[in-house]
Amino acid sequence: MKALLICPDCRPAVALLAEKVPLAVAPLLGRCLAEYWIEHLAGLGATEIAVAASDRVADIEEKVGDGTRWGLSISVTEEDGELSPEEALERCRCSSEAPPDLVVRMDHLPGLPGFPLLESYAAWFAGLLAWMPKAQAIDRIGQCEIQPGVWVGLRAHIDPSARLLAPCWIGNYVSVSRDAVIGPGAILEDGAVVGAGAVVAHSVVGPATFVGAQTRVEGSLAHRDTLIGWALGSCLRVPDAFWLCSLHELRPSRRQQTRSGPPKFNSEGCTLRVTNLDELSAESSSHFLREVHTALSSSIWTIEVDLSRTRYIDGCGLAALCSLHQSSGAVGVTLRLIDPESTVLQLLELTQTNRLFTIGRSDDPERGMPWSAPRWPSAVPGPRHMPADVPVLPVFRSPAGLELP
Amino acid sequence: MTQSPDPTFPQLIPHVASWQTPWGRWRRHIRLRWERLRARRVPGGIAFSKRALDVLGSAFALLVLSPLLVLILLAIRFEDGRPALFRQTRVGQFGRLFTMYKFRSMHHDAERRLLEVLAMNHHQHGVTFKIKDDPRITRVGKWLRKYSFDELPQFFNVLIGDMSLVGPRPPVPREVALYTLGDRRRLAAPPGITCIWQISGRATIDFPGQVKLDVHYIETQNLWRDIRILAKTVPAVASGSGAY
Repeated sequence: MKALLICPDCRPAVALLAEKVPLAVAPLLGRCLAEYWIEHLAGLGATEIAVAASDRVADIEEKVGDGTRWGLSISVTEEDGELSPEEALERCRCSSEAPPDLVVRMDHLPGLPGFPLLESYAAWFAGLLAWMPKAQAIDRIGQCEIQPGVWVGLRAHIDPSARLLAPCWIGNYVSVSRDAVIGPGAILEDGAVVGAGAVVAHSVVGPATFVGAQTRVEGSLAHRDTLIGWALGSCLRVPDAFWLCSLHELRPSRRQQTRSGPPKFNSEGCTLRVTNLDELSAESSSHFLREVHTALSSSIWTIEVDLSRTRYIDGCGLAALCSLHQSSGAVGVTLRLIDPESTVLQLLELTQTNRLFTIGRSDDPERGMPWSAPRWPSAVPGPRHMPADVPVLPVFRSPAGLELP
Repeated sequence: MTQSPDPTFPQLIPHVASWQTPWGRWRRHIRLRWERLRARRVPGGIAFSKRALDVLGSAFALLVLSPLLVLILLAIRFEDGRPALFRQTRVGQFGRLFTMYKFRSMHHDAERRLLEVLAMNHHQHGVTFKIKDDPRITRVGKWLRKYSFDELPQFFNVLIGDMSLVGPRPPVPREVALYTLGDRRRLAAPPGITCIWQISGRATIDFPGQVKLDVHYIETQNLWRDIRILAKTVPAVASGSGAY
C-alpha cells in the first residue's frame, strides 16, 4: 500500500509551537505527529510513504529517515506550501505517478479526527489529552502506567512526597522534586524538571524545560521560557530563568527598553494611585518603593497600582510589590493591583503571587471580592484562537548585578 | 475579575522576598546551573559512559587480538580465497543503515543458495534465520562461528561508532521489514557485539525471547551492567555452547 502524508505548514493559530521545529516534528508525548502517523500507516500495511512537506523539510527528513525502522520506504518531497489532498492527487496524476491509496493531512492524531490539533492552542492541548491513553503503545520502552491514568517514563525521578493526579503523563528522564503536584491533565515531556512545591495542572511542560520551585503552571503550554495560556489565550516570555526556562539553551541577554516616563503618584481622597508604570525591574523597583513610601500619608487607606501599561515585571519587581504589600498591610493600608495585562496576570499566576494581592479592574464595582482559586474545567473548552498581536513581555536582562544564564 | 489575598498562603512571602536578595538570586542561579548540568549529564552521561567504554574496549581488543585477526585472515584466504572479510548492510539505532564487517564463514555463493536452505530454519517463531549444519559454511567458518571469531572485525564498527560493545544484535533490513510494533523496540539502542541473550543461550533462544531480553537490557542499561555482560561473554564464547 502506498500512502501520502501531507505535513502542516506554518499555522498562525499555533505559531509559537513551531518556533524551533516544524509542527510535523513538534514533541507530542515523547514523539511527534509524523512518527505517530507513520507507525499507524505501517500498522495498516503501508509499504511506501511519500511525505509532502513545506516547512523545514530537512528537520522532517532527519526525523523520519528512510523508513527502515518501520520496515517501509519513506521519501520526503519539498513543496512550496501545504497541499490539500485534492491538490496532492492532482499532482500525482499530472506526473504520471501511481496515485497513493491513502492521502492523509497531518492536522490531527491517528484515529482522532474530532480533535483538530492545529486550530488553536486549546485544541492542541485537547488533542494531547485525548491521545494520552493511546500513546502508551506496545513499542514504548520503559513507559508504564503506575496507577490508573498516570504514565511514567524511563528513568524518571519522582520524589516520594510529590503528588501525581490522573490523568498525567511523565516522560523519560523527567525529574519531579518534593511536594510538587503533577496533574490532573498534566503532560511533562522528556527531560522536564519540576522544582519543589511547584504545581503543573491542565498543562504541557515541553522537553527539557525547567519549572522553578513554588511556581504554578496551570492552563498553559510551557515550552522553554515561553508560557502560552491555552485557556486564557495569552503568551508570556518569562523574564526570570528560575521560574521557567530551557535546560538546554542559554537565553541571550537582550531586553527591549520600553520606558516612556517615570511613574505618577496621585492622591485621590483616601486612595493613592500609581499610574504610568511601564516596568518593575531590579533597576526601577527600589525607586518605586521609595516614591510610594514618600507619597504615603496618614489619610491614605488604599494604594492602587495601575498595571495597565506595565510590560515588564521581573523577580525583583514582584518582590517589591510583595514588600509593599507587607509594609502597607502592617499599618492597615490595602494594596490593590488594577487592570493588569493578560501577560502580567499570567506571570502573577505562574509565580503564585496572585494569591498575595488584591487584583481588580478599575471599572469593577465589586473590587475586593474574596480570592478564590481558579477552577479548571475537567473537559477542555472549545478552541479559542489567540490574537495575532499577542503582547509579549520582553526578554529579561540580569537584575541585581548578577549575570543569569 | 477580582481577587483578594489568599489567607492560607503565608509561606509565599519569604519565598518571594528572596527573589530580591543577592543571596536568594545566587542560590537559584546555582540550582539552575545544577539542573542544566544534570539535564545534559543524566541522559547524556549514560550515552557518554557507554561510548567511552566502547572506544577504549574496542581499541584495546583490536590491539591485543591483532595477531589472531591476521591468522584468521590468512586461514580464510588459504581455504576459500578472497575476500576474507564479509560486508553486510545492517540496521542500527533508530533504523539507521550501516555496513557491518565479519570474517567470511560461508562460501562465495551463500546468498544465492539462501532460498535452498530457508526451509531448514531452526527459529520457527519470529523473523530471524538460523540453521544447524548450514551446508554453505566453510570448514574454517564452522570453527570461527563456534567461537564467534567471525564477529571480531565488528570491533572496528564499534570504534567508528556504528555499533556498541553491548547491545541488541543488529538485524538485516529483510528482518526489520517483518518486525511487529513490539519487535521494533530492539532498534531503540545502538546495536552491539554481545547482548544478554548471547550470554544466556545464544542461538537456542527464539526470536520473541531475544526481543524480551533486548528490551529488558535497554530499560536497565548502565555502565556496570555492560561490564558484567562483557565479562560473562568471554566464558560463554569460550565454551562454544549454543553457537552454530
